[in-house]
Amino acid sequence: MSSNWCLQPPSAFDIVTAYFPESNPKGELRLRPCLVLDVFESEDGGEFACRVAYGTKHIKFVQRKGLDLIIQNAADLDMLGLPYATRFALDDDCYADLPWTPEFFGPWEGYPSPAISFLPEEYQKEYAYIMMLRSARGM
Amino acid sequence: MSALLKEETRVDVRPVNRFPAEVYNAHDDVTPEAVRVIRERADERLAGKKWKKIDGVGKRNVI
Repeated sequence: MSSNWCLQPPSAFDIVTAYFPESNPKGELRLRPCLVLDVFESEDGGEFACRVAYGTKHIKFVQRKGLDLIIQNAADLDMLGLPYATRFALDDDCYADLPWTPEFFGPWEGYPSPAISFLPEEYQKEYAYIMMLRSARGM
Repeated sequence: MSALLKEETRVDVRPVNRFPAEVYNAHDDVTPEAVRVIRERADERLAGKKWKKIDGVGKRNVI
């Protein structure tokens, strides 16, 4: 699989697929959707990294509503290319700064790039609202 | 209509084979412990370079 996608950085609010360690088998890396929050370029140029919030299908709606970005409307999932209802975990200890390389990102089989879709404005506003709530709570 | 107010359609009627099988292989919840494993690996790759933010909405401007 070509890794030419590394040359083109993602954008903030892109949804991309990144590797995440599973517990069974322990430590096995598998791709899952992530939300890109920030994009960085090395000062000497040519290399990129991004801060991502990992997605999970463990929605925990009651506990996490207003804390994480939850997408579960079927039409929206379809538009975003997400295979299942997804919660993007926004806690400070649940994001990661990752080099935009095949070691950390990869496309699902049959996809040309890890980039799946772009978060629409209504969800960007919801993200901003959640972050405002978090800030007001001192989180 | 905001995403929060939109009527939820929780029954997903899309064909399962619309996606490759591997998309259903990520089972674990996101935990700080698992994220720490990835962070440590990534920090090794990011160290030694200076990074500037070129896009984003987060509160930190540097890695």
